Amino acid sequence: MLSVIRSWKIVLLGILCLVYVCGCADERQSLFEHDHELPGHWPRNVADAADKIQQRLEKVRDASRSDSEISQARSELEDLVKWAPEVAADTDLSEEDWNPIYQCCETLRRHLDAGDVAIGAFQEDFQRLIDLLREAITKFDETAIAIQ
Amino acid sequence: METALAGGIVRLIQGLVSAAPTLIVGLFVAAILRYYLGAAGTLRLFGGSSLRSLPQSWRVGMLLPVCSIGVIPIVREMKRMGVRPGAITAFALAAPLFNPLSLLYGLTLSRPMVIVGFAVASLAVVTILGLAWDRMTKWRPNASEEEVQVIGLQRLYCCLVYSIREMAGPTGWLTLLAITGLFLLGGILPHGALQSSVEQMDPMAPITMAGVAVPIYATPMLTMSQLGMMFAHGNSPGAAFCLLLLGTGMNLATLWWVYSSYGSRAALIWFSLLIAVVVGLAYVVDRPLIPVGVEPAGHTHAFDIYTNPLHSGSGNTLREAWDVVEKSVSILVRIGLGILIFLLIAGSLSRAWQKGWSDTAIYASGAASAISEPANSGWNRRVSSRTVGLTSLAGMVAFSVVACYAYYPAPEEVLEELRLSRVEVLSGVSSRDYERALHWIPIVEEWSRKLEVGYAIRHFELRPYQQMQAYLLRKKLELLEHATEHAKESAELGSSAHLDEHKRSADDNPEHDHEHDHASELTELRTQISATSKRLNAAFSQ
Repeated sequence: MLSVIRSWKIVLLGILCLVYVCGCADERQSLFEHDHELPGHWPRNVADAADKIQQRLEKVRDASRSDSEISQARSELEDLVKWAPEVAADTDLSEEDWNPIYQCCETLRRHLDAGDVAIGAFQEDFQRLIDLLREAITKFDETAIAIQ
Repeated sequence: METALAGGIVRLIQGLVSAAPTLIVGLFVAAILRYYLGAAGTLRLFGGSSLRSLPQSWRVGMLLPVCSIGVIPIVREMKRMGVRPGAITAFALAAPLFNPLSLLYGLTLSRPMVIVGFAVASLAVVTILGLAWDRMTKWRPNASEEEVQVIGLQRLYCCLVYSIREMAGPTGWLTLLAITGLFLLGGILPHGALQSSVEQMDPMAPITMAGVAVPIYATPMLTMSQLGMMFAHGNSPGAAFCLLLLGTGMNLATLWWVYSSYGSRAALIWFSLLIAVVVGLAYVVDRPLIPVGVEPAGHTHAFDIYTNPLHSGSGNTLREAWDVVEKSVSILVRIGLGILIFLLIAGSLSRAWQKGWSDTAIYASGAASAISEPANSGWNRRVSSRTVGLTSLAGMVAFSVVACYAYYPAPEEVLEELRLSRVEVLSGVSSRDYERALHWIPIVEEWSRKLEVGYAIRHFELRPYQQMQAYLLRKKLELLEHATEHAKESAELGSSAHLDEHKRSADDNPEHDHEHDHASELTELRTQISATSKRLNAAFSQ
């Protein structure tokens, strides 16, 4: 029994040494592999976010489109709703003006995640979000002018 | 082979250095249990023989600032005093996972729900494992040991000698075994080998992480920062859970201690059950805890710390290894390490000269003198050992709370620190001192998290806008880190390989060259970081 235990320990140690010498994965040579790729539908700015939400919303409502197109548009719409607060926060928009956008996106996100109601049911909420985003552009533009 | 060995040794040293503070705390707590609380007090502290002992041990564990190495002397004492095995398991696993500092830090990582979810899931793990473990070990409550009343300097002397002898004895050996896991991983896994192993929606991610996490030793704060990186990169939440439970909660020494205390069969069952429960729960939380709005980056640097820190084929391996060690040893860490080395030397001398030392004899002689000493009036009152012990433990918890406020300073102070470290980053980038910029980027990230926690514990709120600005700053710093690394690589190598690669890419895609125009990318990011910092400043100054 003792010899069996001793032998498996020796085998284990041997395997460990072998793995140690050889390694068990490839080394990363260059950090050029690590670029954070932005998805194609990532909005360039707040105006672009509003436009993209509008376009996806129209696609989802368009009955003439194929199921795969609608599904793709819905998935992108979900992404855009999640990204919109970040895009809006990355501007000179004040916290008071940013909060309604965030709240609107959170409400929409919760419904979209739960999948409890069809997208058509949030028509007003989406429209409100688009309006808020378009309104925001004027606000921080004004702020920029004021600073100048 | 040279790189593997040097990398493994670097990881071994880094592990020892990071274990020093909590190991000292662990020895202190074990001494309190042994000489102040005694067996009866310890049993009561950990919930006695009732079912309540499992959540209570989990709760006590979460309050004490120890890591998976720091719990070793404590669980050894708990076992000696006849604490329920399930409660020992619950404490051993829970104590390293969260402490007040790491829990607060964790709340800044993603949605607070994530850390709350992880904490609840860890309670589920320790409860399931504890119940099974109690049944397996057929534990029965023992009659309590007779408590000896010894007070004063003799008891303090016993505490000191016990701590140093533990350090130079079983706890020291187990510590070495624990950090051997890092040595093995550092040698086996080449530089950056785990960067794309735990991607979001990858069904193998939790299992891969579970395999890697077992030999890992990580402090709670390190794991929290790794979880932060994982969530920032949109990696698998299930894998993050495996890292937390198996990487932080246990190490090779925990496994060895279970084996040596309860036998090979029991250890095998314990380990299998632990893996099954953790991996099972990891799959349960994997989808629901995916962070909202975070685009998966396709990689993470969170686990670079477990792979070899050195690139193979680099000219001077020893010099590079020394540089890595030097960078990771701060002044505070040096103090901790100094105390640990002192304990080790003193313990070795004690073991060499006082071979037959036993605290029982001192207790016996001390008991007689203690009883014969009259208690004085006024402030000099005699209080029970349990009172002193519980006061010490309560003091440690209170100290943890005070430490939270010290570690997470007031927002005004943090904003000033942020400003100074940001200047270092930006001036490093603009003067092409990339090493300086890369050194300061993680420091700015760290301050941004401290800003959030520091604000939250003082104002009892953290507004979404503040969280978003802090997140944006970290996101841009991450991009700047990559861009700086690119620029540094190009500057260092200037090799034909890179130029060829760029040329090829530029030929294939005319826009590619523009994308990799480091100078303009860095300038753009510098501007963005300055703008975001201004907004962050405004958000936290209100």
